[in-house]
Amino acid sequence: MDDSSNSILSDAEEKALRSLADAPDPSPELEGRVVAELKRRGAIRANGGWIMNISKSAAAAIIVGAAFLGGFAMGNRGETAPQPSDVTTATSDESNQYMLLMFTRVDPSQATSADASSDEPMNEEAYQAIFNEYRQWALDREQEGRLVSAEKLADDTRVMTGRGDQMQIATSAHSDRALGGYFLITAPSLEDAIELAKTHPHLKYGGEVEVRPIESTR
Amino acid sequence: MTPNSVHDLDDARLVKRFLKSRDEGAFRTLYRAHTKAMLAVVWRYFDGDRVEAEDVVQEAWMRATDRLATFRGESSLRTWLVGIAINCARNRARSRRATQARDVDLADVVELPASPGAATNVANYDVERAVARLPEGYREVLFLHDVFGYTHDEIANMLGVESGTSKSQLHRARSSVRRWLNEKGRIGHGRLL
Repeated sequence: MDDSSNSILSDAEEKALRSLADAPDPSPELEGRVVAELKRRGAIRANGGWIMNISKSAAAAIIVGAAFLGGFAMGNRGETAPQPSDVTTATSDESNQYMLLMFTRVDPSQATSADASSDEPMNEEAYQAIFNEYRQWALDREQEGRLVSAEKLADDTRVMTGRGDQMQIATSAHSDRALGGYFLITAPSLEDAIELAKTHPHLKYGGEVEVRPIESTR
Repeated sequence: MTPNSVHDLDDARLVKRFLKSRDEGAFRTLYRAHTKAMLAVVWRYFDGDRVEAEDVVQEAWMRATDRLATFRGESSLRTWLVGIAINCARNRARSRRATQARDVDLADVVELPASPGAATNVANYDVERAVARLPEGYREVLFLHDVFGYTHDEIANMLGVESGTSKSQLHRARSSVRRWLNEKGRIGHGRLL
């Protein structure tokens, strides 16, 4: 018996059959419900317990988050940045502001490819070394008075498109890179901001840093 | 829907990682790769009732994570997950169907000579009604093969039947749809229902 060709039904009927495959995307809330229930049952652990098992490049995004949580999220929390000592560079009052956006590649073919060289599990020591690099970079900017604020962004994404009845909400941006957080810094010019961004360890570990000037609307 | 076989290797690594450390990231990646296919199949059991269909998908993921250690990779992960989802949907749909009783007797499904083109202006609605009249087993095979594009081997894995059974049920399902459409064309809308 022929598996593929359907000699019993007409082309129009086959087409009508195929149209029955139409089904909506899972609602964005479903993923959260499933994950929450699995956590309640103890079937999964929150992110963080698996850092030692992932590649260095993938770890970079997480470490960015760890650096943010390590005391550098000042701007939106009402905390006071330490006063710069012997600062010769411009302060946030005197300079333009630039957003350093921390991206990580999330293309499935790259993130989970069978590339052994990029997927070596990290040990505790290696992880700590990278973490310290990120932390030190943030400390240095703080000391210079250049760090305005910094935040980590959660992975739980909602992307809305369309309007009215046509609005759709997806859980993924369908992008090949994910935004993991940002540093808002000050610099005299875009060129200076770029030079500063070049020193960020996120680049060293395979991440991408996008520099965007803050445009004044006043 | 084409099975996601090119990602089988990635699935295996994610499953291994998940079983080793139960990490959320690995689970979310698996969830995002396969839930749409699970919902698409489950959707047909509940006449577009999203709440019910998504409840079933959630139940399927609970069962799947409970049993993931038993997954041997003899089929693709997609096939395995859809099979679990079908089992969950069957159980839920049967309890709902107690008051609906829309299945027809097996005796209503007979072999008929093929007559392609007899209903060239068939409306999607007519085909959907014809499919809805099929006994559950036939309807499942017809959907999985002709609508979603799974192979007989994959369907056999999902439903726990022999591949030959899947083939014969598909042929009978198509014949039954053909017969109903022919009868409907001769007698008029709704006459057979």
